[in-house]
Amino acid sequence: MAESLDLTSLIEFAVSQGDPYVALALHPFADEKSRVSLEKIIFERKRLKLTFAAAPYTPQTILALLVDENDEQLKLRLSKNPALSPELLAKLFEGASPAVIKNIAGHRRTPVEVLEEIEWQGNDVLRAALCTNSNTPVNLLKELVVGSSSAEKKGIVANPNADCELLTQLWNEGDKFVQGEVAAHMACPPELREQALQHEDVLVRRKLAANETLTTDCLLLLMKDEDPLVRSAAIGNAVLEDDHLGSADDPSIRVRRTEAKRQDLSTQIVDGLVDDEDHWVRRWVARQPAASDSVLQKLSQDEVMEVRRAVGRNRSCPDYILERLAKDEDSWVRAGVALREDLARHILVGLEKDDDIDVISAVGRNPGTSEDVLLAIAEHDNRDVRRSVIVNPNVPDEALMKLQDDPYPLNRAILSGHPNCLTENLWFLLKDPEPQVRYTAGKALAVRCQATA
Amino acid sequence: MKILVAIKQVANLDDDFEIRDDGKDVDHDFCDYEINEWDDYSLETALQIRENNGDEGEIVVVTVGPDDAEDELRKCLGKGADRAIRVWDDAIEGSDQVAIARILTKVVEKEAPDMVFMGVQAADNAYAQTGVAVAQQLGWPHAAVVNALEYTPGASTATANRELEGGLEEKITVNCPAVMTIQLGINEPRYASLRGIKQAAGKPLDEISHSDLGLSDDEVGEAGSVSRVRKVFVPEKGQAELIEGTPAEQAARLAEILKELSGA
Amino acid sequence: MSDILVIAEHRQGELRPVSLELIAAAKEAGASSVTVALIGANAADLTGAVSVEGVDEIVTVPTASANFQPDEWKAAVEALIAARSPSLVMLPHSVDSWGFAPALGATGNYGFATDVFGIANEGGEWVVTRAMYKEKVHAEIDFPGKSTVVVTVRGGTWKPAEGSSSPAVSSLDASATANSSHVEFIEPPATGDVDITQAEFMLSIGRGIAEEDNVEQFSELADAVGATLGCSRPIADSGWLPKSRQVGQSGKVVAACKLYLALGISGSVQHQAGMKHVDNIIAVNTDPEASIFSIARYGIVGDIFEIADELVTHFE
Repeated sequence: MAESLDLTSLIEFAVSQGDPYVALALHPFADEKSRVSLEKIIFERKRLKLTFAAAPYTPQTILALLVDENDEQLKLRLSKNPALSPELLAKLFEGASPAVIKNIAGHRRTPVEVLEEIEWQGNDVLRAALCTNSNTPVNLLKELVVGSSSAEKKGIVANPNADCELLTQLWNEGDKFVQGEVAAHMACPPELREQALQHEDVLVRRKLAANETLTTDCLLLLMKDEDPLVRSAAIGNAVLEDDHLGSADDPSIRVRRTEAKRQDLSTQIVDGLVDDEDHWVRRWVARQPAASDSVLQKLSQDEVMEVRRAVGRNRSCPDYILERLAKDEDSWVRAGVALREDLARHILVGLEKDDDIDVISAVGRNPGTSEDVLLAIAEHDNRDVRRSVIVNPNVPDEALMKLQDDPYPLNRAILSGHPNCLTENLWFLLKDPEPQVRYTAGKALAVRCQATA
Repeated sequence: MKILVAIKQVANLDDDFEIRDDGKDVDHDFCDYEINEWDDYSLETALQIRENNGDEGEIVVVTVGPDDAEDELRKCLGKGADRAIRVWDDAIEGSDQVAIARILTKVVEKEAPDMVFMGVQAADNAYAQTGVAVAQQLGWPHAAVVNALEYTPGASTATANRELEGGLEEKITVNCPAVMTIQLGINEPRYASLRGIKQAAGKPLDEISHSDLGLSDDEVGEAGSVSRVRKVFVPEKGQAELIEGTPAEQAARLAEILKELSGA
Repeated sequence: MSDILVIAEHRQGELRPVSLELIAAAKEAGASSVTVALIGANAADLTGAVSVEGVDEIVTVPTASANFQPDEWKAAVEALIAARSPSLVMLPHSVDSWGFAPALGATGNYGFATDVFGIANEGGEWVVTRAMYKEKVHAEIDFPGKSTVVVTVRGGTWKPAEGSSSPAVSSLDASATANSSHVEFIEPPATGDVDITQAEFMLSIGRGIAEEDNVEQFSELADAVGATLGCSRPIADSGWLPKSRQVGQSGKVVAACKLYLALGISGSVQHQAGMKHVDNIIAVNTDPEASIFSIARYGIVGDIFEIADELVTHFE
């Protein structure tokens, strides 16, 4: 077989092999006449039809044909297939059985018009499915809320389409958990925010504090709350600007950790947290983009290994610190440095000689790694280490040729699905023992054929 | 040296399935098949013993199962087994594990290996029965749930560790030849190389029936069994209990469960 | 006639608690009398431990070995059946039973079924229930033409029998040639917190965590709840957690794990190979069809970040 990029010869190959997985991959790319011959292979066995109806990788062209078949078992699987398009869901809905309608009512891609057509009155299962479907429109939610159970209210309140009126009703009728969700909702009306602010239950106050549509004034009040969980939620709120931050003196580690977790801290705030006794605070501080060299320098000598690792992962970390971390006694710290795509060549050279598998895998992914090292990694004894070079943008062809008959099927699966995979590899993988590999290789080849055509 | 490894093709049943009209089994259209996970480990045990024996010796894989089961035998041949035997005919349908053991026993008698390895259990129906049943019918020594094994071909005893409940292990010595049921984790099973898979197509795979083994019709199938499936049915609730409520409520319940189950 | 014989199990001189569950199961199955057998060189020492409510008789069968030995145990149960002609014999579905009970079934003399969790007597015939197809189906099993039925019973199905009784105690001889012998017991190594094969409580993260910086949040959560952090393959492949923390076919089997919290893990076949044996799996995933739910005991369909944020507030 010529290793060309020609769709006709690819389809001919699939038909001659009679391989349903390759046929499945090519179907959307084929012309009408070829599709018929591919369909013969794809639909030959009942078992595979059922498998393909349920599989999220099945192309819409095949799903469309399966939707047309009058088979309840196929329909059940199609209605649970997360990849089924809104158009096909609408088609599947026509004349569907109760079990299929239940799945359609809960499906995330079901179009609004279909959801509105579902006859849910007197049917608890359908009602529950519609309450939790984030596509359910607000007018339908308002019908569903009438006489709804506590569990159904919890589904409705999580719906981003809920409006002020609906939220007010839910607040009045729901328990503290529902009230908490109302307080956290973007559309929560001002009068309910007032009530939430004064609420006796911590849960409601901290849910309010996490609401990203709050005013700064309201947040400042919540930051003085007696409960650390409320203060923590407030200090983590993205609305707060830098001049209101600075919790280094807060007695609660929960509050300090949340602040350190924010990625927008100023150099000054970072400086205030660097000596925190809690190593989780220091771990997050070490990841701060605004951390100064002196902060990173200090944390790079921290006694806790994970803090040093975090310094090595910080994009702003200067070379002279990375040089030292590349020689850290702990391999996980060294692996973090080796994972940096921006790593200076002279530091990477040292890591290329490391014998720890996490470091070797990181070196295998690194675009700066020398070709002979990548070739050696592609032949490493450890099967998990070998595949690291597949995702390296500078992987030599020779390494990919070695990996195409790696005994570990997962490595071939990852190769077949990666843009680095050579066209020559793909033709080889079309005959792989693993169906998943053949499918992925077939699809990748078809896409490349189309791009060159 | 000869080692016999008995394997089983196991079924993976879809979530949506139908029960057969006679009510005694599920409709097999709703099943995918694969090799029993335990069998990878027993084959690997045999392959490693041969490697440590200067690559001397024969490894024979056997299964009792219909046409589809040939795929699994080929995979074993691809990993390095020399020969495969598949026993099947219509009369075998409906056999329980005692009847299956009777068939395997005849194969072992015919092959006269130095050692028999089988999985502790099969992933689908988990009988945990066949290996020791074969040993009984052979009158051979046996050890179940072996997770470490020291055996030199030709030796009169082997030393095995049995994996007991709660991580405890028991070291025992067993007279040989013996039947051992092999536990997951005893080794790291290999994958067949692509070259191995190609070579497997040329290796011998015998297909035989119960009468080829000298068994009569009433020694297999329902007649040769000591138990009978009267009917199958779908249990009332599925496995996962869904925790409902708002995220805060779900997490509160989850915290309770974690505290209870972790003994914190 | 529904006399039931219960084979008690013991190890290192202690009765295994599942034995008491079997006594309760025998009572519930409507036994007209319950005989408990104690097999082993020193098993008579356990007479007190099995003298619980519902036990009518205790028979000790002294054997050469103090510990379980399959040939001796099989001969003992055969002698007991010959002496008492019970209609049902119950053994725990345990590692020791796996080592000898199938040999009883393979004699062809008795009805036999394993891993039974339902037992009924219909007009004098025993009908038992067990699972098939990875628990997706239950099956009713009967034993036509067998006057004695031997079953291994799933642990944790019945509440252990309690109270006390004063059963008659007698002894029975059984001889056997042992084809294997006990050398020693090997205790599991002490739990370390980085070796995930030894961890009892694991919190594992998958692709759902989306970014490297998010690892810290779940690492903190694992620390707070007292779990060892593990991950699925994509996380280790990306270099976000060490390969020593990867669970699954190409990683490790969490052999000692009793509680497994899977966050944002879909449950690929490879991952399941490392953890599906765990008794208590709890899964959180946004996709209700994720295959991890099919092996979980508890499930939450939801956002792992929201659940993690909330969960940590309960562990201060």
